[in-house]
Amino acid sequence: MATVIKSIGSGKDYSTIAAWIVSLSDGTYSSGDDIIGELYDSSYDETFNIGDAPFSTGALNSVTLRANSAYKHDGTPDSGVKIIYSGSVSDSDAPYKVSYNSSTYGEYKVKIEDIEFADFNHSANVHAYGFMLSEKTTIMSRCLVDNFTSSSLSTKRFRIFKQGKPRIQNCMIFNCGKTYSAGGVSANVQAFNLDNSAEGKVYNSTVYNIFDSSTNTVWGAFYGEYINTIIASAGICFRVVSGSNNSNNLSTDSTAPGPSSRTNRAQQWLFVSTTQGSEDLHLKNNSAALNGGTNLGTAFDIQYDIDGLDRDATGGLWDIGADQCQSCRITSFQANKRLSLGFSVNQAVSSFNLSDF
Amino acid sequence: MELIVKVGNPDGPQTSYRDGDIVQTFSPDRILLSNAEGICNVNNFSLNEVTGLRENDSLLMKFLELRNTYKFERVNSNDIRRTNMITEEEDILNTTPNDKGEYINAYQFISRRLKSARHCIFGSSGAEIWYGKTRPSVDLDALWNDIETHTGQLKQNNVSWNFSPIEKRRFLVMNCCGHGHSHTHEDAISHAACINCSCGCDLHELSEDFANERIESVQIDGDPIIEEETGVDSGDPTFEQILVARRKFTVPYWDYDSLLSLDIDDIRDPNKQVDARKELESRPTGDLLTINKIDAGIITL
Repeated sequence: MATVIKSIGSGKDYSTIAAWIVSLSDGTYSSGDDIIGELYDSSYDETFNIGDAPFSTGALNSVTLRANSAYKHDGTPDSGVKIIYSGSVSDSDAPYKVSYNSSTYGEYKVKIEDIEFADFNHSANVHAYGFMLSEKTTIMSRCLVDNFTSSSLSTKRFRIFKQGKPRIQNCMIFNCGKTYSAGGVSANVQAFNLDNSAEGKVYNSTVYNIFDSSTNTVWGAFYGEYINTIIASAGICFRVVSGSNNSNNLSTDSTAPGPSSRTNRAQQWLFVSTTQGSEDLHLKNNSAALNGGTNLGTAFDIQYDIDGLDRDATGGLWDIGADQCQSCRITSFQANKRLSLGFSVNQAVSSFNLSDF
Repeated sequence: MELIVKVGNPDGPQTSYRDGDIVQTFSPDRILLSNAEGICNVNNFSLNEVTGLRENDSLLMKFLELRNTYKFERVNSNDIRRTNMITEEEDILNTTPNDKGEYINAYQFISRRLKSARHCIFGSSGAEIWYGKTRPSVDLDALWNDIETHTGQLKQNNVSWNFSPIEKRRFLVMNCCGHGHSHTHEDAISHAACINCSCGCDLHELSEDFANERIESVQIDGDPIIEEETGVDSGDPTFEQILVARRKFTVPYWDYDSLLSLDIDDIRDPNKQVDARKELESRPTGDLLTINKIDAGIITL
């Protein structure tokens, strides 16, 4: 029983994720091994489905797909390893699936870490999803999911995460939705459409701009348990959640559930940038998400934020969302103090500007 | 089109990869783009030692111009000019949201990017330049023209996928192309001629769609998924998808040993590297090389 790391990319152990997945059940590894596939390339145009074979035939203990630490994103698009998919999926299907039987082979055997998933722009007229992470199979940490779109016609559903009880933690999901603009059905676009169970957990994640171009209502969250999670500009941000432990969430409407949640916060006061092409959902100075989270401990490495920063090492309170901001100022008191010291507020000549405060 | 084929597991269930299943395919455009991305990887370019920024007019900058939709230029401490490089539309963004709700704190955005040694911020301090939003398609001719201008790399030498030694030992690496048939394949002789490329057909590269279809799986509808809990009724039900076969297409390479000069023992020996790719003028036709399992009766729905 060993931990075996294989590199994936041009000139690496495997040139594609698909070939690496085949290797998980072809006798390459020993029973009980923990296998890690590390990605290095700028982009991988692929789908994947991790089924029973690595755990049945391969008898592996766990499978991790992650970006190599020197090639991971910096929390913004196109800054690190990216998995895209330029093809199409069949009806009611997704390009990225984890489908092994967790009742038989054990829970959370698959981990997906530090990867950007982007540019799945689906044009086939079918119900389409982004991820199908069945039952309690998957822990997805510190990933970016952005620019997933469907141009399917009005009645077709589009979900970013469909079904299951995954753990989604310290991830950012943004700029996803349907681009068909001629009518439709409300709530056919949902970011999270999970099983009705508190065992599906979305913790310390940031969701922004889930849209339906037909102007029908979209939903950010439908089922699952949410703690320390921001959902902003996503129609009805938290439509329904599961269980009674939801807390410390933030929404741009009135729906953030549970105690210590913050509602009706304007999205322009939350993030560094929402500009298309330069998105940066790290928290900005005085963001309403600062210091609003609850400490979730260290289980499943939940304490590492989108940048890999150990929230506990900062010595401060946890922030809501995927980012733990070390440098953000929180009160206007500090801004007033700095201004009183005589800094120029002339933005043309100063190296500071008011918005920095 | 190049492809990598599963070797071994001939008796496994169709829901797993079986002997001959096409694991992955690579269209010519995908290969050229992937190889270009490798050459233009940010790790291959240095930072200006004084400014800590990337040099303007470098190959990296040209690559990002062709790869992205938007160019961003800092015009003062607060304002960013965004240029859509496809439509040439420009707008100014700052901390005040525009009518689409977009805003940017230039100082915080740039400061955070510069913390990474892999950043792609060009220009000079106070006049930084960067790019964003991947284009739906890339002008590969222009991209490779830039690469050939700035490096010793030639496009013609980058038309093959960089398979690893492990892949050449444990899979079968092949390629194929399209044949503009001037004949039918109703007889074994013409069928064989288009496999060993003695047919005289007009040869051409295969499309992205052809490549993508070769790695589809086979699924059938199961029970309808009841979404009544959501209260949403679009009148267009979804169904549980049941996997029938991991791959719809297979390459019965063992049948092509003589036509393609394949040594089946070598292919199945995990200690021997086999690369069965051929020059364009002798590639088999993709239509015949890849077998649709449903049409061939290998799986039934």
